[in-house]
Amino acid sequence: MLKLICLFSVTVWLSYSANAQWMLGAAGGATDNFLHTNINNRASTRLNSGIGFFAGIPVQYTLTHWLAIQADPSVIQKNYTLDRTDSLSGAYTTYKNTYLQLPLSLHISYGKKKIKVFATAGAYIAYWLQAHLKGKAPDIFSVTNTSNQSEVFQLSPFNNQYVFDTERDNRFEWGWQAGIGVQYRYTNNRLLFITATAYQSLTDQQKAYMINQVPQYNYTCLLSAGWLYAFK
Amino acid sequence: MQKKQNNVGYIVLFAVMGIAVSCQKDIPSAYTNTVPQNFSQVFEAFWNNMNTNYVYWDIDTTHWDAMYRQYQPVFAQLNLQDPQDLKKSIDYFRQMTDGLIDSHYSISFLPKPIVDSQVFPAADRKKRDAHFHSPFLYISIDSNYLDPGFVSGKYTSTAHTLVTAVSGTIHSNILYFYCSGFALREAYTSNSANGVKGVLQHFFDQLKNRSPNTKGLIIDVRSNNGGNVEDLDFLVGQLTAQPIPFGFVRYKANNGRLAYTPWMAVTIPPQPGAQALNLPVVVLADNYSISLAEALTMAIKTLPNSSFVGETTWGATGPITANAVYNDGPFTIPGFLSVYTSSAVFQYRDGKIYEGKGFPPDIAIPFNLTTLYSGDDPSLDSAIMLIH
Repeated sequence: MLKLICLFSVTVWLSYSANAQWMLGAAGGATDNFLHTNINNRASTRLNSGIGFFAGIPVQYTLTHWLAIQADPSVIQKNYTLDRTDSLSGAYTTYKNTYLQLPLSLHISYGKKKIKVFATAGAYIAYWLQAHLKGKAPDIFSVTNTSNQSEVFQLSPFNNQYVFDTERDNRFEWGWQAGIGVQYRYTNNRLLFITATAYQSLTDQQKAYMINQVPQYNYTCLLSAGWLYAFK
Repeated sequence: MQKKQNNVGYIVLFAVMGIAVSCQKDIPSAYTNTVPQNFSQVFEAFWNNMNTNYVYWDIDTTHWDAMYRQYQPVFAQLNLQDPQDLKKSIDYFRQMTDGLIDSHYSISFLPKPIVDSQVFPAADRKKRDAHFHSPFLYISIDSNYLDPGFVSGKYTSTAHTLVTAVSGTIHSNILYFYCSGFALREAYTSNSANGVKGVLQHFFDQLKNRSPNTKGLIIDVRSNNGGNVEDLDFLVGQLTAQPIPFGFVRYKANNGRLAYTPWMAVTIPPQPGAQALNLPVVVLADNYSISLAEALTMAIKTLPNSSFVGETTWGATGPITANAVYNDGPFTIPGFLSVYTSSAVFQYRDGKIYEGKGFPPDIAIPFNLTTLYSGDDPSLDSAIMLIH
């Protein structure tokens, strides 16, 4: 592994000075976030991924014609929904979580002059900026007992800003990222790209505040498109 | 050379991606409700179920992690097959739960040697209070206050609770309604003939066809230990033409001890054909008015020109339903115990949570057995005076 890293560093260094170039742009897209946790103990409950938005300002520093370092300061949503099933079908809670995120990645490209495919891999840090809860819950005070003594609840809607709890919520997140994409250089210093990226959190969304805690990790897929401008 | 560079780059890239994917962790469940084989498993199941299902952790003073550290090794020493150890375990459960504010909270046990045992922290606390008294059958005194023609009846609910209800008038100008528990809608809509149905019909007719001389209404839920939640809308909804904002509820949101849903507004809707009462209403409750009897007391207090006379209520204000509805509240450890506990936290419309404290009266009348045995009911006297 060490040998591999040394070889990689040398090849980067050899071609560094000839190709160095700053690029700056804008990107937008959609996310699909999965909450990786365990809800096996919860009756009639299904955890579904949630669609969200992404907006970023990609900054790329090109080291060689095939290698760059890229940072994507961005606003990204990591949403998910807890759906109730069976007799409680219709009840749900959607968590819309907005993060400020800073991914840092290696960007390796391959291809002819104008069109290239590329892959990225790296790490990111994120800050849980705000969250919103929307859904419907059975109203316990609206219950009526049917003639066969089963309980029927009316669903009560809610739509609230999430109130962070300093004891419970871990607002800092970091993890891995990897992606693939295609770029099209339509002038010497301008290019368009589309990319699919996966972000996997390695930090629990909750602080370690209790024994036998069931952790919750975000796993986010991003499909984005953007534009980059080269300054050299 | 360029191809070699690219190859190295891709090797590094895929190595990083491989490491990332391999970091995916298997996450254990919060608990599994299987039949425990030893006391360590009993303890783990109990502690984890409480950790997830108990709804008052953010306001309760019991330090649940400290309980784990203290009692996990203690339970590990016990033998599940030893009757003496089974009895010892009850003391440990009692010690662990002694400070819980949930005043519904109780543990019942299933193994034969301890099947008659129960842990009931709120009852233990009440017994230590010098002013606390057992339930009293006030209606045996109060029937002497009622004008001739009052009706009384009984109904045994599907939960096997005997409910007694009385409807009548006092001084010909005060409406009076009493019930010992809540299965009123169930009785009223029951296909079988029952006494409570007749009492309710009498009461609703009195409300609807009251004379212009009617001065007020007294609703008596003293020594009423609650019952079906649906009775809140069914009874209080008869007294209003407008929805009544009553308070807020919240539930557990996921497996986290401090994970809650947002507060959700609770409203009592008017029942079909109900009219605004526009009369003084007095609700009578005592320290044995529990659960829905407390909710009803609080709901009556939201009506205009209403008063609460008697004693501070029991303090069990969180409604209860099956665990599967909210994935919180009551739970069972198969073959060993079952826990009865609130499914929701209730916050009254004044922003206060009365769980563990009880709802205080506007006019406090201490319980006096001697006076009651003499045929005088000071709380009812006070209610009549208030209306007149």
